[in-house]
Amino acid sequence: MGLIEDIALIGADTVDGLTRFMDNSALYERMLKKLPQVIEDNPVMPFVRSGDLETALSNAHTLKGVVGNLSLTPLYNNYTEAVNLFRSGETAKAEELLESTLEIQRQFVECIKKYD
Amino acid sequence: MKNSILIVDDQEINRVLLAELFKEEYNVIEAENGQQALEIINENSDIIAVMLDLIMPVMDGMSVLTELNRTGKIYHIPVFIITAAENMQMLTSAYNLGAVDIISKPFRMCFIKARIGNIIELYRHRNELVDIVNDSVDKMAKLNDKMVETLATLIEFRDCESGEHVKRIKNITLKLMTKVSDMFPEYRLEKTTIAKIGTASILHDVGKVAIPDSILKKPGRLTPEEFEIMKIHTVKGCDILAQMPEDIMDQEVYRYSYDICRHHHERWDGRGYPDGLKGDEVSIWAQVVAVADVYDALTSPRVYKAAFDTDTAIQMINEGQCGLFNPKVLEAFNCMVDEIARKHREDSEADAE
Repeated sequence: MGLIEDIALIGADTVDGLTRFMDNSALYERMLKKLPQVIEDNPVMPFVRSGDLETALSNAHTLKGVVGNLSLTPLYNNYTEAVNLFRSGETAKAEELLESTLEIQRQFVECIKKYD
Repeated sequence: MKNSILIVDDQEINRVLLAELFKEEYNVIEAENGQQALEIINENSDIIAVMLDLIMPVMDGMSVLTELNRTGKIYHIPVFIITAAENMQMLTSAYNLGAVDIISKPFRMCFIKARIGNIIELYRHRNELVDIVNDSVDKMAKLNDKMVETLATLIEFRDCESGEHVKRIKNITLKLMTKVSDMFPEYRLEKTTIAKIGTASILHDVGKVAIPDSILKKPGRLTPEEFEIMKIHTVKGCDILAQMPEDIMDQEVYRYSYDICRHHHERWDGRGYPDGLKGDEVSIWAQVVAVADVYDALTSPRVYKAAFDTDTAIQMINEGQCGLFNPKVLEAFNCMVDEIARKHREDSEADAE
């Protein structure tokens, strides 16, 4: 088992991911390993809690693009939905969704860090 | 040598994905924000496409688009927006600012390569066509200048001149007009306009073709009657220009030529000819050519006189011995007279060889 197989077990669409990385699995893995830092650099929940919804939206938007390109489907779906909720003013629903996303996000990060 | 494409995104993962896609075909340059992107675009003339994220720190994508519009670069370099946003208002604004296509995240690689490749090819062809057209326009303008110069040289030959007189007048006019324009805001002109005035100055004496040889080549002072005939070369010049086919020269050059032909012997105090205009009733370009013409006539040998040295010529012009000129034109002339004199000496030495 390797990183790509492991994240597939958590829900990543690695077939789609490998296609996006032109079947270059080494490059795909290298980019996956950058995800924990990207998440750390773009926190969402602290800004939701402090009421800075503009930064929360901006960071959620950044994460949506990155996890989408890495084919981390569950995260992508949730961040896409959260961004839509922020934009339609449904902050409470966005916050609830993001809270529930933290667990699956933690699983992806831990899995990736195992291969560092 | 490969052309370059610029990928602008604050997230390395997004940049690497696109870089991987294009690295075989292009030299890939990456930027983390809009400010870096603009610096790179300004420093690299071989960038043939830009892939631009909208939401970035330091400077966002919309600001980059705005700047590329301001500088006109948006018309030569296709800009693709790469975004995870479905914000229609923002995307519409990006299109309005000249973006050619939207590439959504997550990327669909097989489509991106084809879409971007097609538009790059389209721009390449368009830019080539623009270059070809500009080249042709440039060649036409040069050909036009040469025709005008050849016509003026033929006339100068009749006047026992080598044709260098008209070239010197053009050079002095270009330098002096530029100086006047730089020094005095009321006489400010665009560089392209000054270039056209330079070309037009060549035809200032075209009317001399209508003056009899007995007067034109007389090796001595003209009688008052002969001088009256000589003076009509200004009006005859306009008659000749008026009979030229309309499309033989640039219309702007034509208008300047006509004005210069008629008024390059007018003087600041109204004692010139043919119309006796005073001060700024005479266009600034005709005033400039008047000074250039007098300086060159004084410093060149004629059938009726030897050449004066440059210091004497400058003194005569400043003292009004050849008629009064606009003090501002004289101030500009005196600022650059050393340069004019040096060029005149170089040309005379070249002629002697």
